[in-house]
Amino acid sequence: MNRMKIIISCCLLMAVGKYARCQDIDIRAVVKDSVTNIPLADVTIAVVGSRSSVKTEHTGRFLIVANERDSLRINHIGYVERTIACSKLIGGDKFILLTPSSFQIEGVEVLNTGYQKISRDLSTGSVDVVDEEVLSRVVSPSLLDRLENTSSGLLFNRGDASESDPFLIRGRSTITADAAPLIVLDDFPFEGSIDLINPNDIASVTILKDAAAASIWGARAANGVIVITTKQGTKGKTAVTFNSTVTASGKPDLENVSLMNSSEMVEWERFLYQSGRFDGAKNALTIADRWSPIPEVIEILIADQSDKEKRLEELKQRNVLQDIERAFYRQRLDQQYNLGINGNSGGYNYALNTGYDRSLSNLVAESSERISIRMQNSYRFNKKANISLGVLFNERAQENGRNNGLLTDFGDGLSPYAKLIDERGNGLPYYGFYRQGFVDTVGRGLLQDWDFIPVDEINRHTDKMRDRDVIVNSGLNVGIMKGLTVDVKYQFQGNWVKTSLARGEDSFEARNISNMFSQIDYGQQRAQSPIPTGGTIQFSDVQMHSHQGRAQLNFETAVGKDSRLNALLGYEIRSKVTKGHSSFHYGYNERYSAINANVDMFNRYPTLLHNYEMLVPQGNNFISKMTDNFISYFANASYALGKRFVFSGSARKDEANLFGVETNMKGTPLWSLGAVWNLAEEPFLQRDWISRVSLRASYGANGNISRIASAQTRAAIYAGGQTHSNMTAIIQRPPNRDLKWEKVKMMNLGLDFSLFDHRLSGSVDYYVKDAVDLLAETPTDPTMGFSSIYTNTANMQVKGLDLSIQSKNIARELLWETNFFYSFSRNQLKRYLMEASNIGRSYVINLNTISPIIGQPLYGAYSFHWAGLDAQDGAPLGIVDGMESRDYTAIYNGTLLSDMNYHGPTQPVHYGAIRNTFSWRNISLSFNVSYKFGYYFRTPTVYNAGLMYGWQGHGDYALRWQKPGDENHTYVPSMIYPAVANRDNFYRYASVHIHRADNIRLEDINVGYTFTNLQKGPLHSLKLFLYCRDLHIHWSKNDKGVDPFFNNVVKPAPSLSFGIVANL
Amino acid sequence: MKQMLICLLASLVLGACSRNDFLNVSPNQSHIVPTTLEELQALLDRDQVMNGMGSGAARGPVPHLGEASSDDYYYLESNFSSLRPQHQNYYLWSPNPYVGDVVYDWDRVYEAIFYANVALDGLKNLTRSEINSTQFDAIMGSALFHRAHAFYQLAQIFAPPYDKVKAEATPGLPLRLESDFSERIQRVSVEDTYDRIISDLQRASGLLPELPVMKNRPSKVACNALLARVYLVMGDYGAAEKYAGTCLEEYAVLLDYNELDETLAYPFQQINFDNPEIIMVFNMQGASFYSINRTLSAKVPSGLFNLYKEHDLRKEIFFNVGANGIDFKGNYSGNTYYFAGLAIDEIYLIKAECLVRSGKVEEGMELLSTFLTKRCSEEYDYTYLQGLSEQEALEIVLEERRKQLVYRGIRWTDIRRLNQEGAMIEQRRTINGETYFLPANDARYTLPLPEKVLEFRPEWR
Repeated sequence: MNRMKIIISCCLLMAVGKYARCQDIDIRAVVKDSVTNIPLADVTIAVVGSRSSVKTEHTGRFLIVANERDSLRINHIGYVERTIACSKLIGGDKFILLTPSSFQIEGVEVLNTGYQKISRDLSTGSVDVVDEEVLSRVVSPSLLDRLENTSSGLLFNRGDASESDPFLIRGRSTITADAAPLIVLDDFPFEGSIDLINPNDIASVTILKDAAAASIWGARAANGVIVITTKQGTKGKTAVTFNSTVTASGKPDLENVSLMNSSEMVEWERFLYQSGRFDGAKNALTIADRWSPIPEVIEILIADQSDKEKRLEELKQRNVLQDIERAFYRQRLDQQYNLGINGNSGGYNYALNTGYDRSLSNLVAESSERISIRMQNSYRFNKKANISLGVLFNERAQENGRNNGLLTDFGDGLSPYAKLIDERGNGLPYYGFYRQGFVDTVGRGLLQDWDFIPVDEINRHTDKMRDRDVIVNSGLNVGIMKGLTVDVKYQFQGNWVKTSLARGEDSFEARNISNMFSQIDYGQQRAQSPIPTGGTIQFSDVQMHSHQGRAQLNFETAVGKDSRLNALLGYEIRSKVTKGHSSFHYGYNERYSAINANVDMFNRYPTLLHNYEMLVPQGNNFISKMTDNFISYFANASYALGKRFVFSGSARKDEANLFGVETNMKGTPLWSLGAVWNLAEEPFLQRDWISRVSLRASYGANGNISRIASAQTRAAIYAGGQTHSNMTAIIQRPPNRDLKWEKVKMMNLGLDFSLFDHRLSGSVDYYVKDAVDLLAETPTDPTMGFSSIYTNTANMQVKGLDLSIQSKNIARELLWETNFFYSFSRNQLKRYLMEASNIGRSYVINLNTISPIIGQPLYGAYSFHWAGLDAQDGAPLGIVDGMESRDYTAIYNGTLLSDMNYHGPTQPVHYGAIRNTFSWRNISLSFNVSYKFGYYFRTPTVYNAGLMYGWQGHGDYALRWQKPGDENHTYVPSMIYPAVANRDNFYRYASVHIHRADNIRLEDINVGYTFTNLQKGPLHSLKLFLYCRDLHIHWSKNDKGVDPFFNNVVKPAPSLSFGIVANL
Repeated sequence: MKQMLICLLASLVLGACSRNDFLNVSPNQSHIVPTTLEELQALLDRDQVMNGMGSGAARGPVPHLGEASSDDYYYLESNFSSLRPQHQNYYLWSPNPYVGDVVYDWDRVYEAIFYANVALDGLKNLTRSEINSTQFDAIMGSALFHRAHAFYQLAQIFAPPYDKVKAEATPGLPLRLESDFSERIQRVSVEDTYDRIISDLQRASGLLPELPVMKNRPSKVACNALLARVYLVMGDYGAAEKYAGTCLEEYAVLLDYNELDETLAYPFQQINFDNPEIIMVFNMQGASFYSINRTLSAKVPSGLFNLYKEHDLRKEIFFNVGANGIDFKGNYSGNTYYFAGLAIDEIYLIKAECLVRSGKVEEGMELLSTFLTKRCSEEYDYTYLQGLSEQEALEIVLEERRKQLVYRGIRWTDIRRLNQEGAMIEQRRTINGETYFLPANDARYTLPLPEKVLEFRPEWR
């Protein structure tokens, strides 16, 4: 067979050779393993740029005919591909050494599992790698933003759905435990906010999706694992990379929040006034009525002056959104700078990276900064020993004032006709906390000013957050004997998050608390307050220290002629202690950094607002200490049987302080098995156009933990009992020796392919996740002494499909590539023992909380059946016992779950993205289109009862039923006084507000120009690019025109970034 | 931090340096895992759970089902209809009374047992030393006492009356003896149920201080008192006399009712737990069932009321004669809750009964007189006739027993006991013109296990 090939190759070459200037020669050599020195059989030797290829014999020898100026490509599974010039092989039997993939990580696709770096060929798991090029396509300070839409199986929820799960790998497979994937930075889990990580410092991100890939992480792997690999020192000369981006975007779209207009609000409030809603405020007989804020319209109507109609007309012309936009919003400006240097000299590798990010957000007075510095060194003493030492420092600081955008911190909301600034932009008072008449007169000049001027307040609050993170890691790798190395690693991580919420002396909050507690002696013309002068400050501090150590034996060897065994065995210990404290102080003086500790918080004082005495508020004061201790044992092996098969297995056992020693003793190890069959190596698939076809299968179990669970008795201590003052204790959680990790058993079947000379490649994975032993509250035999317990009783199943396809559509001077991702994922609750409510109402109030209904997804959209509006008076009609009904109490409180509408899940079932990349000469263009299908969301609407007490309303008010006939073109009921609570509740949660959330959108566009062949100057290459996102070019399935990503919230304006990447 | 580093490094080298300590650290320090003696004592001092103290219904280890099913009270028909179905069923001795509702009479008693077991299991991880021995023993004794007391209370409701002949073959209570959720609870015979109660009390007696430190805590006196009561229930009058005697040797103070103000809403409210007769406090669980100031009040049958003689102070101290019936106000708790603890008056009566039963009639009647002088007005010289037969004397003692221990959760147990000896006490109630009977020794003197329990353990049906 080989001989045939050689002959054919020779013939072909001779045919070509006729035209060649140089002579064809016989090239002979032996291919060997660079580590074991064993000759390698079946290695493919191909002449670059021709179709000629041969394979080595069992002695590792080969013979190929090639031109002297040609190069040979040497390729073998599990080894790094090499290209060698034929000229180097002339002159008899030379050796070509191939390096096993795991020893040499450059040049082939390498998967970093956090425990080992292995070549994709040897992996049996479902793994995606997102490389630097893809990560740097997106401009964002957040690594997660850059990962969005770059892989299949990764779901980033946006809009309402993000409330339940912002980010998932292959769907949710737990009920009460954490569903977020494990984040690993280089070798160890990263504890802390992922926002700290500088994405410009990342070389690649490996996503471990199935059991075979993730199970090495054992008890924390059930949600999938994201391994972040930072840039390392590389061979070759020193490389310097500088990049910078500047991003700007305009003021956001406030109109996306639906509000009643001023004219509607004025008339509605007039109606409420006439109906007697504000009689209390008018007569002002009680203390509360004297100060409780009422709308400006009502004040005008109560004052009843001759110009009242003129003043009301004036109010109708106003629009508070204009004032908010002008005074509270600004253009956003983000800057990112990053400088990276890496290189090598002798055995010394180094990488140094510094980044600085700064962001001025759309909100006035809100900004953030991040500094990150990383240094990674490694030194190879000789062939046997290597040490490494790295330090990473990240700090993120955030600052904001009293500005949350829409000023939603009022109990009653901001009226659409509120006026916040005058023509010159000066702040005006807004009477949203107290009536003007009250604050103007109560103190008779003896109190501090009690006005609230929203614009002036912005800078009187200073909220600061500082998140500082230090990681120090060190490692030692020693070769003990051929194929056997020992790895010892240690990492310290310290994380300090400090926040301070300062309310200046002149802030409304500080003035308010002082005034409120003031006792006024009108005779003496004196006011006294138990609150010290000055502002207030709330500190909170959380510090985390973690130590992680790992000892690991790596073993690899050739077995027989063409098989290889890779194995590792290790032990790991981890301890994380998190301490927090929080304290509140009065009398804060920013200038002198002073506080006043002499505040009486034990005696009650009269206030100007109540007819009873109150304690001075104490703020938030606490200390806490949490400890997470883990000990783990793990092993992993893969065996490549020739070129056709790879088998792998892994096992891990974790022990934690959550469960106590006794429980850990009984813990079952988590494990996985996997296999790959390279079909392309089979004779029946030997086709020119097939480069790779392989089938993967894996099965295994991963774990997940919940902080709520504890194997030991947990109690809370109280200072006294009912009849005595000795210490007493209540048992909060009973002891449960049988408590164990939640377990997710995952089956994965995958197909990888690469066709037409790698023009079309991709993978398909089908998986079933059976989550068992999930922790949930469960009824027990009351003989136990308690009637329910939080224990391992619930089951869930997730089924899904991941598809990713890369295609080089055009590969000439114009290059056109398409990356297509599609995922399907559906979860279903299988077993849940606590009796779930059968009353429908329990499931509608928040669609993004768990609905534990067997056979359904965890998050579902439920609603009341809708029977339209009554033609007589515009009242909403529901269904009771199959009949139209206006018995709102029966509808709202009595409708059974089985009589509700179930629309579908509130998280996407089908999702993915298509990215197209074009390049022509030095110009490149790419854009990403994402899609999410098969889910539902609810749009808010006008709320009658809310209109009676709140001042904001909803734009649906304009569509309300007003006269017979309106019921034919609107579903908004008539607005009545007094409001009927259950009429409102039924309407708000009725089926008319549930819509399909399916959508497709253009996520972003990136256009770049690269200068190459820069002959003069130090620059190696220079790339300039423009990047656009939040373009709001989308298709949404619902007919209301609502973008489900921005459901009645402020919508950001499109942003444009300019970036530069320079390589020295 | 240094320590941690050292531990880490050592762990890496040795593999298991102080592994147990490392894995036993509390994940959250604000939530304690009760381990120290103080913390274990704090569990047993949780008087809501262990003694049924505090406001609100249905707490504590003394069920109200016995009292609810006995003849010391009746409901006005108008009140009966507004009772929850479960309580209507209790009143009419329905064979399946629970209608799927929570049965606090079971759940809360086992809750107290659970607390006691947590304390007992906690002690297993501590070492008794010379320094802590008093506290250590007191906690162990208290936990054993509480558990035995709770089993005793359950046995009066959910286990058949003790019958020496059948006791070994009759199913008794499920005995929960550990704290962990993984315990496979065994249901044992009536004989084994009482064996467990007695042996735990005897062990506790050797560990506890003679007199109570606080009245929510057990003592040696309380052990002897409860042992006397348990043996009486079992019909072992010799042993009952012995323990009642030991108890009275240790403590025998009676309260002179002449010192009380009978016009108070609750005449015992002034002295409360300082009532010298109280050995240990327990309040009975209660739901709809309660006294005077509640709308759904239980009324005292005139037959019972008329048993109290003219000069008997209890007639006015215990009762309030109202327009629509007689109400009980003589709770030793000093408030609306029925006292169901241990008090020395009961011990006098136990000893007197046992003396009479063993033929020592004179001695018994003399003890009874000592007791009764504190119950009758000073001007009245209370002495019983001389030369009574054993039977006559027994009848007198039993009537005094009923009159003193009214609404203390004892009547039901007494009916069960006395009927077994042939007393033929038949209970009857009339509602809406229909009369309901509970004949002597009826199967309904043992209440069924709660449905919720049987769902988990169908083999206990």
